[in-house]
Amino acid sequence: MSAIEALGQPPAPAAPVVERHRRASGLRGLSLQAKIGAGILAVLVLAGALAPLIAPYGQNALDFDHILSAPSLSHLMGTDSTGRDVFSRTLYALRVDLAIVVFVTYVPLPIGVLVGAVAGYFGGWLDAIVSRITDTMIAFPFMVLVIAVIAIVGPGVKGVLIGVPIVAWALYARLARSEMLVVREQPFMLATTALGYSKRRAILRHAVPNLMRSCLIYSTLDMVVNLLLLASLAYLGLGAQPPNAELGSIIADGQTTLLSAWWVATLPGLVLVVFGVGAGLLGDGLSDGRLRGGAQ
Amino acid sequence: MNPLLTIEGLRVEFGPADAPLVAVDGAALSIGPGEIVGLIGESGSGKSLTCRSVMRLVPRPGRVAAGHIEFDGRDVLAMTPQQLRDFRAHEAGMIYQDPFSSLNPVFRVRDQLSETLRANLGMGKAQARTHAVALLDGVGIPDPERRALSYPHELSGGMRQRVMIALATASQPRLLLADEPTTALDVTTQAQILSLLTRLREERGMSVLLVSHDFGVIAQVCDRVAVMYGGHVVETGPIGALYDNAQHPYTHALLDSVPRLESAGRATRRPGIAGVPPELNEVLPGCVFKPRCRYAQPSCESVSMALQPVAPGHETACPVRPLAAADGRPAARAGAQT
Amino acid sequence: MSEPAPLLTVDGVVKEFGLRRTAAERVQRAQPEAHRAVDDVSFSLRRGEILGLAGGSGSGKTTLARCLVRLVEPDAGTIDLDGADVRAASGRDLRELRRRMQMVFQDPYASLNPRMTVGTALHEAGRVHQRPGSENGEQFVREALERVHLSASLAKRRPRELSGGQRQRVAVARALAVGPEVLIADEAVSALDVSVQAQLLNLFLDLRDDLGVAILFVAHQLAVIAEVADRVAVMHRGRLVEVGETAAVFGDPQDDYTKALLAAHPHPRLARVAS
Repeated sequence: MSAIEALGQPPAPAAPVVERHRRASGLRGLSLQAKIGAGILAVLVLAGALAPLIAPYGQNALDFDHILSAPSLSHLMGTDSTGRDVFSRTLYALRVDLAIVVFVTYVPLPIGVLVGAVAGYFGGWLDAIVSRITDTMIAFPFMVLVIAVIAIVGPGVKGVLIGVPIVAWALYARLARSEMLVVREQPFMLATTALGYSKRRAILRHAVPNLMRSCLIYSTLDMVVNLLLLASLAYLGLGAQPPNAELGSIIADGQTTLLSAWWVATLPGLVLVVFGVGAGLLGDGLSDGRLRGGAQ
Repeated sequence: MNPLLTIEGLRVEFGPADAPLVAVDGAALSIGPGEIVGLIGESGSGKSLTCRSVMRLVPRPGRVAAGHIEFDGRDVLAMTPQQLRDFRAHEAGMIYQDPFSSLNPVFRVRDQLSETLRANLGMGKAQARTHAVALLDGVGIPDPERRALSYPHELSGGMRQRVMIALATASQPRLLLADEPTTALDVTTQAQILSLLTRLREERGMSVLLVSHDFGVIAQVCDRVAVMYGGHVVETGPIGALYDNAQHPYTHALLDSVPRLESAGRATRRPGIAGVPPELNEVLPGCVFKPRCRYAQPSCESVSMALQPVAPGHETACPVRPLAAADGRPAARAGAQT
Repeated sequence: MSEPAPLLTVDGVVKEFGLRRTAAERVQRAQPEAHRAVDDVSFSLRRGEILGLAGGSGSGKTTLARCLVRLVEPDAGTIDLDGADVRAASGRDLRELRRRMQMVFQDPYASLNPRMTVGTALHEAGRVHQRPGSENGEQFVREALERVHLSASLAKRRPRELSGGQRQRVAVARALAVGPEVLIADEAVSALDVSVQAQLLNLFLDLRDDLGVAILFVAHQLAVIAEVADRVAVMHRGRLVEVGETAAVFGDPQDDYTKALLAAHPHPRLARVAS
């Protein structure tokens, strides 16, 4: 920005008396964007959760009279090469996949936040050690580690459930740590020391609630990444074993018939995309609210 | 004498056009050549936005929705982009509260000054550099050749503000808009900056619009002052008239709240003003100060906020005039000491 | 006529901040000059008095204030609160000393936890220190708010719903909730509008009069100190340059810096001819 343009820019509020706008009372709650995103995710989660109730067919109901039939009213997403209803399979797959994704995203989150918050609060050698560990975990090729774990425990859901959290906590730790470096200098944190509160109280009761927002925003992105990871592994045959459905394996099955029966691979893939869009909207919507001007 | 700057009926809004949040409503003031006019108000009064409107620098999503701003006979709000650029480059300058973020941290002071000189005054590179040093000297920076090579973070707050003033006045503008220029400064530095502004006015006949929340600052350097509350100008007049004979209850209450050095040692309780200023989304009928005014009457709900003259050059938006003595002499103010 | 006994005695406090060494200095193993933010400061605060601490930016007054409660650890000197050695205390003793010396910070927008309601924050203060009355949360909070002339209905609100003046009052209420003998107001009114500031100043005077709290009032605005403080201490570049009764210091300053500070204070020039 040139000096001339610098003259025209309003300054960042830094000095004491600044005309800040208090949050207008109408803007409570989530933005529209966040609500739409949350809505999409809620629909998908419900669809997966209620799969046994709403799926029109069993996930492995073979029907050799109707192999590779196009999407229709009786088969919303068509059928695959053994006549199984793709829609039903997708619902069951969603069930499994979303459960795994929620687990591998939200189990490491509190662990990572705690480690990062403590490291950031105390600084010094504790912070140095923790940071080197998290740096190493993050630098490690994620996929390689997960596949290595799968090589040890065998293919199936177990591999992902173990392998992903081993690394994922480090991302949250790093995020929480850098937020903590900022939060701990805020007067309300100094006040906890001046008020004689224990460090434990200061970290858990005061700092962490203020760190959570950015970690939660990041977790929406993380969920999408994890879902794609899961789908990729299933596609490679390393996920849940057949005949259990997983989105990735359904897509893999449909690959051979991609040109003649496009719906088998593409429509479940579309579900992945919709999930990504929903999570993205939610994440964006949450971070907008934060940047727009809550007390900082 | 014709005023250099006239603002009439200024209205600055935010939000949707059919249900706007009005931050400045019907503001009016004028500045003559070589005059220093103060604009005082507390948080949410709209003083900063009024100041920015003059150069059409209201930050988005705000916008000037109505009003007339005339500079030297020209309509500022109707200027084309090119005319506006010329206006900002040559006729008006602006300085802000935080000089640190108004200076580009990655450029040396000299280069930022040179850029203005070359772009706006068409100087050559070498000439601009020499002139930059002269400008720094002109704003009272000691050892200007060496200081010119500094980066903003190497200078103190007071020096940065001086650099800001040098930048803003490089092309000898006739009007300087100063938006809380000393709020973030030490009191000794503040005194130096204020005397610099006064000196520039004397040497160049430059007019200044000085926005502040600090009555002491305003009273020290301004010839006239406009008081803003809730987006409206509620009183204007010569500084002496307001100080001794404020006619608007808000001005009066505000002056009563200002602590005085002369109290030294005597524990003084001032009344302050009960309540809080109106929110942007509150639409109050009649006088915006009525909810907090000790002289409020039912008729105040239907007054317009238009300014009415009290004495030559002294206007107030309060038709009730609770503070005028019966025979027109200034009413004594509780605790007033001069 | 004996003077009230000093409650807080500060003697020879020093706080240094080491400057970062440049690469050249590191190679030469040169020791850079440390910057003394607080340089051998001694003063006392008496019971029931309001002592103003004045000075420009960089004078060290905020650093000194933070040293007193050990938010920043002083490098030398003693801090004595009614016979207790503040610097030597640790653990529970330190916590108790901190309880007795509370701080109110400058920025009303950041001194309250944005994610806690007012009532929760106030009640927590009482509970942590097991203050009498803190078992009954609602009553404790109501009384805490009354002490600062705020309505009990504010208990459910979050800081972002309050004005700057209200937030500062809540910050004061929180400090008072633990029952301190000393209140350190670190530029507590500097960020407030002048009409709101007046109310907060009245509150500090009331606290001194009604609760007997001694107040160390750190401020850069001399007029504010003039109207609130019984005595004033002036700091310049880490050193205490003048201390005395407010009327004496402001009326007849001895130190050059005090004189400069007073001269720089804006004074109205009313008999001017508009050009």
